[in-house]
Amino acid sequence: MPDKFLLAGKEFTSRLIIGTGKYRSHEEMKAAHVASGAEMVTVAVNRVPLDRKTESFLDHLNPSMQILPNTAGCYDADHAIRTARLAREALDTEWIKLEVIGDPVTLLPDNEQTLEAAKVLVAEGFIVLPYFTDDLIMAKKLLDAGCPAVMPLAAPIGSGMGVQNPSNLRIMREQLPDATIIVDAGVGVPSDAAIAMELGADAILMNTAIAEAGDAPAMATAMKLAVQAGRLGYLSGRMPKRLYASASSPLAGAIK
Amino acid sequence: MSPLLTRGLVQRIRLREYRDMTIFINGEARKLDGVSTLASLLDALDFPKQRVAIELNKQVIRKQDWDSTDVADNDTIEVVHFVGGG
Repeated sequence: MPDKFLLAGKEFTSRLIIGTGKYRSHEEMKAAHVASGAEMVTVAVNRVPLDRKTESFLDHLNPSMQILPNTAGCYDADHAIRTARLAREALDTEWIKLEVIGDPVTLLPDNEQTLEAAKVLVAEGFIVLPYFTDDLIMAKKLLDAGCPAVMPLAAPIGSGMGVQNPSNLRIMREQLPDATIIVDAGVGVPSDAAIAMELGADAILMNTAIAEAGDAPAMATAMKLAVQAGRLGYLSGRMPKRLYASASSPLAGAIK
Repeated sequence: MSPLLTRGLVQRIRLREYRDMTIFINGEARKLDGVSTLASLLDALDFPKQRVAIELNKQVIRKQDWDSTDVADNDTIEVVHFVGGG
């Protein structure tokens, strides 16, 4: 049975969205992108450097992949809105990963500014995918603002700590059964991705876990499989957790 | 018109013609000569024109308007492109 991932009216086969930052080379990035099976990649908006000829980074991306620009580096709604408008103009896309950071050490999101920016951008016709703290109430507000999906963090950006608060994700899944939830940031290893998917995430966005792996393309393959395994595990319906054992083999009839 | 006044006017016009414009571009103050429009600014800076976007005094200027949008002294301009990110 095909298990398509629908996001803002677009159909994806892969539930893994990956980044383009921190790779050691363009070649390694390209190989990792292919291995991941991802159909959408994030890019950052940045000033063109003065006095230095630059090549187009986008030329290193597979043209079949959808480009999702982000508003990384923005610390308030105003900067994020301006960045989104620039990205739309340059790429001719309405899609934006909205990221408003509240603090340079933790890179934790400023949820209040994120919501404010989301409202403005939705009104301007953007497809806003907001990165935010894994909080149910905030998720509801972002969805009410018109975001087609919410992107709660698993752990701080680039930390590789894995899902720090599985209860929050589970509650979000149970309370918002129809919402599209994409876990964004904090995944470190394939088991983290599988856990997030088992908890009911619809997709995962990651960058550093693949880019900083010793063998990025191999890790991209592992992440692809983990996302698939976690998804299938979620759809299959897990067994209940029990405090005590439950024998798998019949106890009656064992020789005495 | 007196010769003195005429000379003064000519000087003022010349000063205007040759005075460098100071533009704040991507966070740096730049004195630019011979720049009139946003399109000529990109040329002067040897910037790419594909898949970039320009903000002039915090307003995005559509690509089709780069040729007709004048740059003025003390303008603040952001020219962005895309880099790797997550």
